[in-house]
Amino acid sequence: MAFVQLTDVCKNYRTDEISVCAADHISFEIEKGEFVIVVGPSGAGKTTVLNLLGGMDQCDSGEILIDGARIDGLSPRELTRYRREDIGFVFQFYNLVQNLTAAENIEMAAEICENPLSPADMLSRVGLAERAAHFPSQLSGGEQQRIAIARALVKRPKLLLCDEPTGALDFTTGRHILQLLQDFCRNDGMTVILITHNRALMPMADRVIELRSGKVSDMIVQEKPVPVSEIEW
Amino acid sequence: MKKRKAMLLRNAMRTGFRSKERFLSLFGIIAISTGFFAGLRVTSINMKNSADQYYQDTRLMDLHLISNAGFCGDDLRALSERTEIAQLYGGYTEVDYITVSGESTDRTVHVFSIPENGEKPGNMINQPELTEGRMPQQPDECLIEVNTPGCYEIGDTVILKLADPENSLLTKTEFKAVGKADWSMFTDFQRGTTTIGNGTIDSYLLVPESAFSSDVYTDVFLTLNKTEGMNSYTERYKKIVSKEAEELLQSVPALSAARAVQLRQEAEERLKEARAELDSGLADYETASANLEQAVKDGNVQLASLKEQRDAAEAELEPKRALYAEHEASYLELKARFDEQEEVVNAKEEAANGTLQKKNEQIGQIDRLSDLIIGYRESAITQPFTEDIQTIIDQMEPFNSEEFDLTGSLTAYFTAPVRSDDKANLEVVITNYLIRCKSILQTEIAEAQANLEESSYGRNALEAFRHTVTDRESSLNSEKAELDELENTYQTLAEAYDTKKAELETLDRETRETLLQTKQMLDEGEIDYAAGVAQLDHIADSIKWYAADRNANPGWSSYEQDADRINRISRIFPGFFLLVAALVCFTTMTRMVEEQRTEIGICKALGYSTAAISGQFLLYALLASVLGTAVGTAIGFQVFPRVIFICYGMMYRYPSISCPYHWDYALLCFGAALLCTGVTSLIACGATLREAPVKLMRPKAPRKGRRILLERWRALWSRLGFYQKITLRNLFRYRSRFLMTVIGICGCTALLVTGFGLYHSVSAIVDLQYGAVFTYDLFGIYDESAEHRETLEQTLADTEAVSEYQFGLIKTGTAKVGSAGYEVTITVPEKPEEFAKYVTLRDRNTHKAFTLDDSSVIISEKLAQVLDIEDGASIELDGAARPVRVKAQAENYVYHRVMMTPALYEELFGAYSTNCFFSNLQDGADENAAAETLLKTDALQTLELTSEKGAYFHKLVRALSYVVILIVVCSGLLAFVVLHNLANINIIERKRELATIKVLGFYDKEVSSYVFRENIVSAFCGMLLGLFAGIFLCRYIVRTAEVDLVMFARDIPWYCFVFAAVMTIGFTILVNLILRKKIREIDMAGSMKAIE
Repeated sequence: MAFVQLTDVCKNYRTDEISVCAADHISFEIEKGEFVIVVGPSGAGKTTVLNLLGGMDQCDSGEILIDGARIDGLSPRELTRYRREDIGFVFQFYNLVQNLTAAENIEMAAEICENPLSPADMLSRVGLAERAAHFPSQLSGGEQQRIAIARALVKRPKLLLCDEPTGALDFTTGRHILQLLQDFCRNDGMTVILITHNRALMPMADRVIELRSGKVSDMIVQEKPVPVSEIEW
Repeated sequence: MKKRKAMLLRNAMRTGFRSKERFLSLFGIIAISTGFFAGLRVTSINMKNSADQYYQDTRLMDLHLISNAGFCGDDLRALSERTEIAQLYGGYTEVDYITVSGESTDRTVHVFSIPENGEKPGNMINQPELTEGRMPQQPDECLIEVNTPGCYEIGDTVILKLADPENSLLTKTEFKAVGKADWSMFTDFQRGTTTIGNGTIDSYLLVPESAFSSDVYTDVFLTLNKTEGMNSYTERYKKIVSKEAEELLQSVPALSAARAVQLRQEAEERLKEARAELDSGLADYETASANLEQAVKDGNVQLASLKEQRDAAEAELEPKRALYAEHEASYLELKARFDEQEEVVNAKEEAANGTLQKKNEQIGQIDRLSDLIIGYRESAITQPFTEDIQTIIDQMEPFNSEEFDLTGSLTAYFTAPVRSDDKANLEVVITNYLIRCKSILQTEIAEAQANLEESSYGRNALEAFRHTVTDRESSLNSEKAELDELENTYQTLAEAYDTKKAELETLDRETRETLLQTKQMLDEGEIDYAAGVAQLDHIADSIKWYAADRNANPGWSSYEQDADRINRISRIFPGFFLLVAALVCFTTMTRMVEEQRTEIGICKALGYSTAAISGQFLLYALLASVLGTAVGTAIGFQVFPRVIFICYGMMYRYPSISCPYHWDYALLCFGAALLCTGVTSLIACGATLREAPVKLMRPKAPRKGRRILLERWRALWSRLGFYQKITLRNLFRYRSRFLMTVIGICGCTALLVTGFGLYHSVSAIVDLQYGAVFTYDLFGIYDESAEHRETLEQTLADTEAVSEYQFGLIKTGTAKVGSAGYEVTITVPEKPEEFAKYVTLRDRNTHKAFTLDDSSVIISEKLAQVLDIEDGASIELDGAARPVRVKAQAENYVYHRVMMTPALYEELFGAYSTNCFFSNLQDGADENAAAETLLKTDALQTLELTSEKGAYFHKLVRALSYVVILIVVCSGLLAFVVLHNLANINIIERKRELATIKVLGFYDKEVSSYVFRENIVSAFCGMLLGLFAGIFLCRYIVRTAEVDLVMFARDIPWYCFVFAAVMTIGFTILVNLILRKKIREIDMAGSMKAIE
């Protein structure tokens, strides 16, 4: 059985006047340890998929299985628990707590889960051990994103969800971040799902899921992904 | 351009309503604070205006004239011709006693006349407001008021006991109550003071003019033209009235000319009568003196004739007395001689008789011996002999002679043997001898008897002498009797003379004395008469008028003071309130501008003018201000004045309060609100607009994290969890908001402490006064009669429930320092050293006990405060001989009190007598039964049970309690709004951060505590500060809110702090609970958005 499995997932967003179908019978599977890129233009349903996978939103119908456990139909509290225990999240704008140092930001995540990695180890693995005592405002964007990745991974999540992690970064820094993510995937067997509108990143993925108007328009499994260093955009 | 503006406006509206909560909290805080501020501020204005409306409706007098000579009709006419006087009424007043349930009491009632039918009702000066019944029409009808003692009702007959029946102007003493009225002359429950009874007037009574009979009015009430429609609580009014009064008093000589003429005529009349009286008195005196002289002369003549008679009798008596004395002397000499002779004769005769008797005895002895000898002829005895025989032998001793030893022979005879010769011989010899002796004796006896019979001792001559003596004696006695008669005659004459003489002297002395007195009186009369004559020309000058303005009405001025007190509270309280509100508005608006940063940038980039962009914020602020002020003032203007008026209504009798909309205050509030919101937003907006539009559209760099000082303390910092760290860092990161919260909560907590503190201060006084200060159980007042005292003393001593008692004097007086005078209760315990059992005299703070001494008084603390004096200062007591030193200020909460010893009282006021008693009851005794026993004596005027006392003060306390509740509720609301608003801003500002940690998997509870920890810490800091600040605020408010007569408790008990703290904590928790929902609703998707 696949590590992540979506079956006929539908999601409608209703406001008073209009109803938007953000996910229209989406089905796909992801294997454990894969580096997955979800790609699509604005409004294709990328964020919806991310929200559903990240336990931030509930689907209207369909089934979502993560590591054999269903997460659709969970109560808000169970969803929070799911986010806490099973999901690591990397934001486009890093979303570090400004008032905590780099190390403290990682500790914050470590503090809430049961079996975390050592925050100090994590810090050195992202190569920022010497900047532990710096506040986010004293770090560059790339450094902040690395801290964010460390924060996400310190919890030993089952799934690392990344929302346009390079969106706010320049090319070089973005490549470093992607490299870091790929390294974690390859070396630690972490399942990484990266959401982006940037089709140029597609070659580096094990699996590419392309969305268009709330539907999976294409899914490609690449046996030989290109190393990050070879990608350009 | 127009369209562009319209777009902006639409944007502004959307902005406003998009965050409903922000708008609502802004609106709410403006509404609450302006309502509170404006409502309290206008309360005193409304109170004064409504009261004044009542005065105007009832045409309350502006000036009340009293004259020492009264007013005659012409005086009134003269007054009415003066142009400044609008309306005038001359009437009568008098203070009398009122009977309660048929018994006469010392309750006093002030009887006022009101104009009769002639005057149209409603046009009457000092118009009474009928609450029931009708106006009196007959001379024996009256209006009563709520205070009328003994619960008189309409239809009852009010019976008066005249205080001074001789000078009373009333023609009736019984009035039928036909109506009940309120009167603007007396708007509270004080009725003034008087000189009769216990000094307090208990009620007033309105009777028709015809119930009085006098040509001279006692009082004149008038209104002025200049003050028509003018608010009498304004300075202008007071100035005008005092000026007019002064002018009026200056023209008294002209105004009172008619009365002066009348008085002069009356005086002349009286002088004429006095002259006639004096003249007749003088004539009487002359006659009486002449009579006296005559009587003395006659008496002296009689006395002389009496003296003559007496002297004649004396002259006759003298020679007789001498002769008698001579005769008496010679008689006494003769008598002495006779007595001497008689003695000699008697002695001789006695000696002769003795010898005779002895010789007869010897014959008898011889005879018995002879018998004995014969008896022993035939017997012999041996010696010693029996006593009888020996005695007889011994008696024969004198008969022994040289030739014959009789005793020896006898012994020999008795011892000689019977029938012996000796015996027979002896018998013969002895017998013979004895016969011889006997015959000798008989011969001697005969001779002696013969001598005696021949009176050889001079008995006969003696008897003749005796006869002579007796004759002389009887002649002397008759002479004595004659003399005594003469003596008597003389004595009677002498006595008659003395009596007559004394009589005459007394008559002379006494009559002269009487005459002297009469003369003196006549002389004095002459002097008085001369003075009266001299006075005639000064009558006009002696007429004094006094003008009292409304300030002399007890209710009028105390109502003003109460209104001013509210005004003072309303100045500090809502000011504090507004400050907090302004801070919150400031924060809210600044935050709002910051949130709109991007949009400002867009607008600016699109080319909108600075004015247009700022305009939308101004519009938003304007809308919130207008709505908030409108709603706040609309409610505040109604609620606050009405509630406070209702509270004070318990102490006053004003018909109603009108609560108009005060545009001035509304505009002021609106201005303040706009200043806090609009101007703030403009400033914030201006600062933002100065930046380049491009920079504005880029997200503003998040506020940098910073290390705080505490981190240097590694040992502690490393031990802190991430929650603690973030809370501490955040507190310092958002320093201004932290400060804002602290100040806001501090203010609210201080207000709450003050509210509760004020409530305690007000509510505690009854218990303190009647529990701690007045410790006696029963207090009774009687008139000063000794008889009643005796009855009461007896009853108190006999009632078992009464454990101890003491008598004392209590009276009402005035204490003054300079011109400031206050009504005081003077208490003079009979035994000051035991007074502590009944009333505690102590320092309020230290509880140090004070004792009374004979040189100084102890006064209540509040009296010292209002008189502004320290211990050792002197106060003047009305009617006292000299100012008296104040020894100490004793704890006391209700009324002003002056306490002194009887000795000091006597020194200051003269005679001391008791009129009340204090008593304590046994533990657990039935006080009502004891009270009933005492009341049954009929000696008491009033009896107070301490446990039931204070009912009156409960009213006052309740009035202020409601105000306090109002304050507490408003402060609570404010605390809530402040906390809510600040916490809300905190959440909105950190929405993204919160969304992020939600995505990271924080449970709702963890997210809440992540954000509320700061709130709680800052609220707690604010609370602690507020509890501290509350002490000062409360002290200030308590001092400000005090009524003159009452001192509030000055301490703030712990529970005030606890309540305030609990309420603050409660509001914090409540706000957190409400905002928790908001946190739950934060969209996690927000974390993925670009930074706004």
